Amino acid sequence: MRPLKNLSFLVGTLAVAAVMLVVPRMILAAPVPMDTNGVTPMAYAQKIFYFHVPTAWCAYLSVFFCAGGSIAHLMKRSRAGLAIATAAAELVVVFGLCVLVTGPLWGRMQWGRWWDWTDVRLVSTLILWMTFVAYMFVRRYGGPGSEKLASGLALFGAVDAPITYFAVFFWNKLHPQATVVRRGGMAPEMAKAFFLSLAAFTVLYFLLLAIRVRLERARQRLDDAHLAADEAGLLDV
Amino acid sequence: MKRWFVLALLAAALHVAPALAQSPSPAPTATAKPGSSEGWVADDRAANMHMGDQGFQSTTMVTASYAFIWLAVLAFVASVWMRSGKVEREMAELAERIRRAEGTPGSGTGKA
Repeated sequence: MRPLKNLSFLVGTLAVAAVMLVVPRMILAAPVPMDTNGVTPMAYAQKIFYFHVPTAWCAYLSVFFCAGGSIAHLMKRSRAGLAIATAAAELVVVFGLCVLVTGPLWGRMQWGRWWDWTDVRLVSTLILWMTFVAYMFVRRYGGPGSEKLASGLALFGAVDAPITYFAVFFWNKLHPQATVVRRGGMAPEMAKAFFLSLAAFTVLYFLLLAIRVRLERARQRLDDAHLAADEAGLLDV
Repeated sequence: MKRWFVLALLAAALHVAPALAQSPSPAPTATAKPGSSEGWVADDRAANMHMGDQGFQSTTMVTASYAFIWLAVLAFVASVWMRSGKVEREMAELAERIRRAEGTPGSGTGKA
């Protein structure tokens, strides 16, 4: 176990060093798009893309971790699954909020307005975020047995996530279509900066997930110890 | 402890980006290659300077969005830190209560 822990520490430290030295310079060096007249309408605001998309990726990743943990809890009563689902749901809310804030900042420059209620991608992202806010409220205030209801909400969120992703292909309105997965969607210099940023945010995501899962497992052990002590009559003194 | 160190380092590292993004670049670091990068222009900051207010506004938007992300992440880390402290305190309190109860004659079975 110790060599594995040391390896994780080494990988984490190297990733941090890479992020510290390379990502900012890569984002600075990446080109900005220009139109046919040689004008850069978005100018520097285009660089929001380098962290808007990675935070969205982390939010989607978290939705599926939450759904996976919830399925494990519903089917096998896995407490580890429940801990992962709880941790991942919080991270959907954190990264989802980042997406919902950085998106309109970009949109204000590109579209001239902060939000469009007729754009399916925007509205479905908001619904996805609100679903996981609801998950947290259910877990916090739902009382005993709320885990199952919350797990149901997580599964609903997991169904909403692909709809959110594919919305730009089916109901394309304002939000740009996927430039990352499309061949030639980005200049090579942009692609380098983008994928480095994506890797950095993914490492950050897993670090945050790990510390939050650790907290949840500690909480579960505390609850178990309370119950065991109560049953043994040790708390009546 | 090591994990906290890595996390703190990462958070600090990513704060370097907006700071660098605001500093003047000594020379263009990337050039658009004819043919391969058509439609893209190297970020030499001049593109922003001649745009006046719009350039300033876009820089503000980038700074605001990046700052928000790191504030959100730091708030989350601080929240996990505080909750971890609370759980540790409750564990210590429970251990103390159990120890006291086990020392009291006629209390419980002492299995916890």
